[in-house]
Amino acid sequence: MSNGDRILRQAIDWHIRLADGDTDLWHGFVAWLEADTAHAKAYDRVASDDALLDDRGAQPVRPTIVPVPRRADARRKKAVFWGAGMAAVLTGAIGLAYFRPAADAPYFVEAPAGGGRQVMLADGTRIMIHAGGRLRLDRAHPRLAAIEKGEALFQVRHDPANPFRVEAAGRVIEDLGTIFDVAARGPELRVAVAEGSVSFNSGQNHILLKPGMVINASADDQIEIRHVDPGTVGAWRLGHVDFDDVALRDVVRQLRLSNGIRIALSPELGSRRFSGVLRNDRGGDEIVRSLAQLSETRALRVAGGWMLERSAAR
Amino acid sequence: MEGSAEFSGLRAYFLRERPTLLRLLKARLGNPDEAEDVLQELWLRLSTMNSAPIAQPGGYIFRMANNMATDRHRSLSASMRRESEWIETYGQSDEIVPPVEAGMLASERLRQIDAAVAALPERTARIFRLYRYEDVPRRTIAELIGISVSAIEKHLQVAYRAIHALEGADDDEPGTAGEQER
Repeated sequence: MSNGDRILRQAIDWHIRLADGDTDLWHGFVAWLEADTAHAKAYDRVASDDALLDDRGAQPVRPTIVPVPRRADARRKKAVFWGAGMAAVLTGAIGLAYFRPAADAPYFVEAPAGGGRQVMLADGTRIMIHAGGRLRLDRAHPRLAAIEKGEALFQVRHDPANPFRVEAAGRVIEDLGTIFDVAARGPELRVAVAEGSVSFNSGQNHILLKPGMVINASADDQIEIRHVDPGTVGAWRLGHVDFDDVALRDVVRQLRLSNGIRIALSPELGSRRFSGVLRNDRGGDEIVRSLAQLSETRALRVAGGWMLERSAAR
Repeated sequence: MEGSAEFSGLRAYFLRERPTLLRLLKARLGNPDEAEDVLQELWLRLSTMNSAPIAQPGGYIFRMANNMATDRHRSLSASMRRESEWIETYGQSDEIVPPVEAGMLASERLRQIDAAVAALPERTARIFRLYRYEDVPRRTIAELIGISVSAIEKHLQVAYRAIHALEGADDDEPGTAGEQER
């Protein structure tokens, strides 16, 4: 390996480790930079390329789903995209669309059953819609989104003077600078916060949600709050959902909210717990089959959905 | 406000680390005056910043300084490149070339990077995209994929090496992290 290559490798190693380095690591890095001017040059190559990835906002992204009308204007404000199109590339299931409907009227964005969809709003707010989800947006009210059905992850460009609001299942969720996930179907709602905080308002209940908090609201506005690892919020966008010792009825509820799959549990499964990974970029039938297999139950087709019961033989 | 305590914490860190911050900027920019400029700018930014709690104030300030040095380099090299191209073509430099030029060079490089990432083994490409495009923290990626954080770092090394067209980009040798003096 040439000396230049060796130095470039070192520069890369530093760059990776510095991303979450403490003061000591930075001191080591400064010493390394000072040891040889070639070190600084190599590091600059690595850092400059990496910075390029940060402001690829002006770059066209490749939608994997049907492209929607895109604004011709190629030069937008810097780095509004975070890293647009990534999810698309990463699961192959999520398409990205830079949304520009023609008229100032409400419009709908829907993710097909087999894959998610990403929407970028003009202010840089990014919404990832879970497969089968449907959102209502309105150019006249750019800081408002309504979930018609399904689940979406919001990465909101925060503006204290003009908070971003999500309406879902008759409640209002207001961003206070944050990343959060909302799933709604009919009157049921779940909100989970990954970063920052969110205000939840059902008229009757007004609650401030912090990272890792999950709120479940039922049809009769019964509220239940849980705590999860904030890093797992919105993890469905990776194409799968991990359950770790979760009550089977909660798994069923989640599949109903997120995927629109209706599953009834036979009474003897009421207290059963479930651990396993379900792909959520698959069709409902396939998801139910995996669930049955992993939970050692039997899935029967019933009117309007499925019924899980204990498998007969073991 | 309780935030002000955090702010003075940041400021305290800045003051304590100022000499090393200056060394960092000098080493990166190769110019003491410019290093002082950037340090001053960093100080101003810190004093106007919203004081949200920060997990690692020391690392945070160094990262800010380092990013500012990178930005300085990039705008500098873009303007130098514009200048030299202009001089080559027209023999003078008192006109401004539209910034589109620099943008085009950047997009060309981005395409190269994308191609390099696309050519990586699927798992490596996925990890790199999560980390670099989605800003998912390494620890979270490790949990999601079910491998260790250091294995994630190996994948990232492979990806960055491929981007910089280094030989052995797809090998899995430990790299130079262990050899570095710390």
